Amino acid sequence: MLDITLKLEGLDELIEKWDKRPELLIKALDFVVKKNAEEIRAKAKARAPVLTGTLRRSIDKEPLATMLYAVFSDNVPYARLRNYVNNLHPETVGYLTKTLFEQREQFMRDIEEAVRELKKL
Amino acid sequence: MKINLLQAIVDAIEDVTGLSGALLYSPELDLNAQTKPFAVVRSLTDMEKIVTFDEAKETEYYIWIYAYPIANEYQAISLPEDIKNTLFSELTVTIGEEPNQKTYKSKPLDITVNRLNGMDNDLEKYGSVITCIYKIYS
Repeated sequence: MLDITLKLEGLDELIEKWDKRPELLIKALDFVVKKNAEEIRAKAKARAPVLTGTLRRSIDKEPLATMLYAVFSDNVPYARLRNYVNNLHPETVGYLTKTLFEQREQFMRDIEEAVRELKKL
Repeated sequence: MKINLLQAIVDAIEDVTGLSGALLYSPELDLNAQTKPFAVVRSLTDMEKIVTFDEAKETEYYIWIYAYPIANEYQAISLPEDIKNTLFSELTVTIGEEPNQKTYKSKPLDITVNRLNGMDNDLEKYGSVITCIYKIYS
């Protein structure tokens, strides 16, 4: 199994500064994590190497806790190897982990936007 | 710019005890022709697009180091860890050419080790990959 997790940390500090409706903040940030996990899942699927389609179909996401999602490939023994080595289709290398790396800036922007919108309430 | 950060990583890795050598990745590199144990440094960040000093400092570099140990030895487990520990040290990176050459420091924000195939008993066969996220600073 190859998996990556998307987790939001530093929430206690944020809630301390947020004097109203912390439940709403948690709900909004959970949505941001879920949205970004879905984008990672979709991009990883599109980037994954395809021969029979097994690897592509195996890529999924699931919530592990509030603001914590996992994107993974399950029951495909070569999923990890193909993330790091692929001489036949080198453009697919990093289909999962590079996608996570590239998503970080968008993730930060989405968090900032969510907090900004909540402040307007 | 691409060579300088990657070369600094190669130079640091070459000091790891027991490693026969470290190489820069290229699609033409014949891994079977190398003497084990060896390491290959590869960037997944397109550094050719980073042309200014400011861009170089603003970028986070996503880099892999493949570690290929000698099969069936304890080194198969220890080598990736030794490389990882070495990379936690600060690296000096030169950017540009004289007279505009500048020297920066770089440090990893994150380093993880993964077995290439994820199967316990195949570790020696495929080796490991060390994932680093580097940042250059003044």
